[in-house]
Amino acid sequence: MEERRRYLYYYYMHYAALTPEELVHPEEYERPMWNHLKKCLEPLVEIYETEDEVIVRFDMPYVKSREDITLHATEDYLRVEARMEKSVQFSRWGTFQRSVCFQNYYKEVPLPAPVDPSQAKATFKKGVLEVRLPKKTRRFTIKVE
Amino acid sequence: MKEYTFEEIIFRETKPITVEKPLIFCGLPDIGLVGVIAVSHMVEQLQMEEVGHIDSELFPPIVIFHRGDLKYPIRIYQKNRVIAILSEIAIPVPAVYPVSKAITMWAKEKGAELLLSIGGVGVPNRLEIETPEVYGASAFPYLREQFKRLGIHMLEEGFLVGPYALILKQSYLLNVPSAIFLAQAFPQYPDPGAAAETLKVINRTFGLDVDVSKLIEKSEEIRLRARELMKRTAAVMKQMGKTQEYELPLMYG
Repeated sequence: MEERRRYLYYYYMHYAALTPEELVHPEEYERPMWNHLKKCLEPLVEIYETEDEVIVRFDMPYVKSREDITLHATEDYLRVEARMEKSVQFSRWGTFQRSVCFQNYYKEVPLPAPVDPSQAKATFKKGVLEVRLPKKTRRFTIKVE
Repeated sequence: MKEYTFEEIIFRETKPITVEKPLIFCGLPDIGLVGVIAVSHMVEQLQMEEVGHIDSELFPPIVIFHRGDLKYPIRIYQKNRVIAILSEIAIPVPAVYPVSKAITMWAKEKGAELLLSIGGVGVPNRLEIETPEVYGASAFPYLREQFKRLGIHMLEEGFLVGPYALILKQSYLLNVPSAIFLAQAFPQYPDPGAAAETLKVINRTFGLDVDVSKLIEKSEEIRLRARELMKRTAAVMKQMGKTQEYELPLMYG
């Protein structure tokens, strides 16, 4: 019983919280949300799907203007880079981290469905970037007889 | 040091907690990290003293260092009759039941006047909302009446999922006066604005004086620092079926 409890615990801790994509690449999930070489932080991201669109939202505090944001998209992924208004350094954090000055955000997001990037629209408000990408689907109307 | 063991959960009081009828505020990671941000700010502003911690083998193998001091991830603070429980880690699913039960039993042991959970309720249009609404819920009719009189909207219909749901359930069973305040919040981003609104309601309801201006000032820094905890909390919420909170209960009338 004890063994089973522990098994369940480790299962939940390490696998059950992961999406299928994360299960394929669990190292992605455990990867830190910063990169000292690029001096960048990874923003939190939410991905929603509607019938016609994929909506991706990034939370990027300290980014002040849309001019500081660069977006690239293909049919199946979206990449955001953004410059922060001021660089951020956590002077008491960890060992070498305390010396790193973070200046940017960087994140590549695989999209859950193929999209038409040429029709994508983006808005930026209160540090939250929202990108709406229309799905690349052909739709037919079927007559009900 | 005094220890209370509730099945697999240990409450260790490193300093005596002798206050009668305490108000216990609970800040566990949840939607928008509203509770964690609000309680953490309350601890700082009221200069509350660390008086204990909660420990269990069900928790991840973690300790935290703050200004060089070793800290347990789930800690207990006190100032006069105000007690705060604050977690800096997402509660793993297998620990949710035992922790919720233990918090309630400990609150009963302390003779709590009220055990108040602080959380968020996810709203998709949060960006358009300047002042998030704070809702209340309780199993105790007299508390619902009291909150209504103070102008707090009560949750009428809906699901609540996670440790706070269990705390409410256990409290009802053990007759521990308990309620929850839920602020409209970003579902998966840390939301200091929602935490500030909740603290304003708490100030008004319980006659506290937690200054929220610094919380609003530091809002961007908090959002940045809380990203990792939010990411782990979002993963745990997914396991718990948190999206059920958006569903309509079947029973009517």
